[in-house]
Amino acid sequence: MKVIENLYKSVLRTAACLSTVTLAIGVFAQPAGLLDRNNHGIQTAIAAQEKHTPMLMQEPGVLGTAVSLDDNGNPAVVVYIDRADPNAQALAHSLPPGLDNVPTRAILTDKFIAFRKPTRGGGGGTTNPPPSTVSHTAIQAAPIQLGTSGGWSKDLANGYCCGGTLGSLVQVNGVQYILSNYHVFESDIVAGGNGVTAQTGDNIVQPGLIDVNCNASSSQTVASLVRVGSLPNNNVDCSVAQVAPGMVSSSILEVGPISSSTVGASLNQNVKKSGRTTGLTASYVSGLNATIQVSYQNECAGGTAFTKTFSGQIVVANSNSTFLNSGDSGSLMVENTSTNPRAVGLLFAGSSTQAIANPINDVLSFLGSKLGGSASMVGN
Amino acid sequence: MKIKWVILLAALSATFAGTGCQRAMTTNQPAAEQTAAAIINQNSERLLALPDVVGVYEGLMPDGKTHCIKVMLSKNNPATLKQLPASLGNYPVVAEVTGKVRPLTR
Repeated sequence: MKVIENLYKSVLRTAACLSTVTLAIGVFAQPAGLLDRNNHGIQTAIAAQEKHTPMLMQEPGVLGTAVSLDDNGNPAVVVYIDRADPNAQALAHSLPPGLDNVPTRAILTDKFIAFRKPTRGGGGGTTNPPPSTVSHTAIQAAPIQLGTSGGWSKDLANGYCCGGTLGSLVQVNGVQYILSNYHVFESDIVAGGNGVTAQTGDNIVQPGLIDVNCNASSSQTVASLVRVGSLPNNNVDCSVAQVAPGMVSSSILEVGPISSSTVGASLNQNVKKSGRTTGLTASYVSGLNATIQVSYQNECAGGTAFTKTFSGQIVVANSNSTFLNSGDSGSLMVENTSTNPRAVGLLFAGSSTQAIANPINDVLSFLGSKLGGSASMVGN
Repeated sequence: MKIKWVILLAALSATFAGTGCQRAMTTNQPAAEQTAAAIINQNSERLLALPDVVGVYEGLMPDGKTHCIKVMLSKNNPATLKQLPASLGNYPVVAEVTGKVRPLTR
């Protein structure tokens, strides 16, 4: 928020002289005529936007600015804030109410992307799979394949709904579970914006709420949540849901069946994943033994719950988020072989340059200890 | 472009890293006996305490062969770059601006 503090100082410095001018020209009056660049109020707002945007853009979480109208129809400087940023709410509240006497307005939004078919492939250096028409967000006929959109049936709060990827199947003592992330299935830990928290027995649905206009009745229940509480005290971001009979196959969309064996990560190892947002993508392991800090929210679009420092993580090249992007959490990362690939890691976090995965054997060890047996991948 | 940026940051960190800082970041163990994992384990807490450092990992230099310690930064921070050591053990230290690492639900 240092940038915002500086912005406040800058605004205060210029407020005195500008207030006289703006009162005279009536910026706060209802703008007359067409609201184009010839409108005086719009021109003043554009001047304020152009002056302060460079400083605003230094603040992590600020995606951009624009000139628009406030709720009273007056020209305003709009500041777009990444709603996925852990500090989004605080950042929105910290904005000064006006910039050079032009009102400001914060809008929480998803990251801006070009509206074209996503580029496939991750960080280069590996053969990318060809584009596919397979949908990773559509409701499927049972038994569903994994690598698809899914999540907790009540993952709706603060005016938003959330979701991720149903990644793969694991089994413990002969019982099969869908494997995904803690923050996909069970991270709602405050009553907050939706009045509920995630509980064992809650429905896990396909597709996730984000792909059915936040309406769970438009999705199907495929499993029931078994809370294992991996975070904040353990070194893995995982969760499981017991499979409803006949609802889930062990095949992963565009990957097919996997091996029941696992393999450790190695530098430059070619890997692939099948996920809700970017579908089937490939990349390579760019780092090992990573110690990484990740901040988590206490519910969908909620406040920061805790910041976790993970150790021993796998880093994967993720240039421009083409390997892994928002909604892909929970995807299983496997070696890039055509048949029965072995699992390498459970993807859970990333930036626009690197993706992060828990080593799959750490995940299986944790689940085995929690579920009272030996956990393994369901595969050939 | 990105590779140039990483090289620039590496050069900056190498230029500005003082020997005192290096001593502060390294341990008394002989460097030859330390694996990258051990070095990361021993130094990550102090590195993560630096402003805008979000991660540390074992990676490869642009030649694709030489192992190094990579320090992930949420944004460019010249003051933090100055405090990074040029190397840890036998591993060169390379800074890279990755942005914040966040959970990837939607």
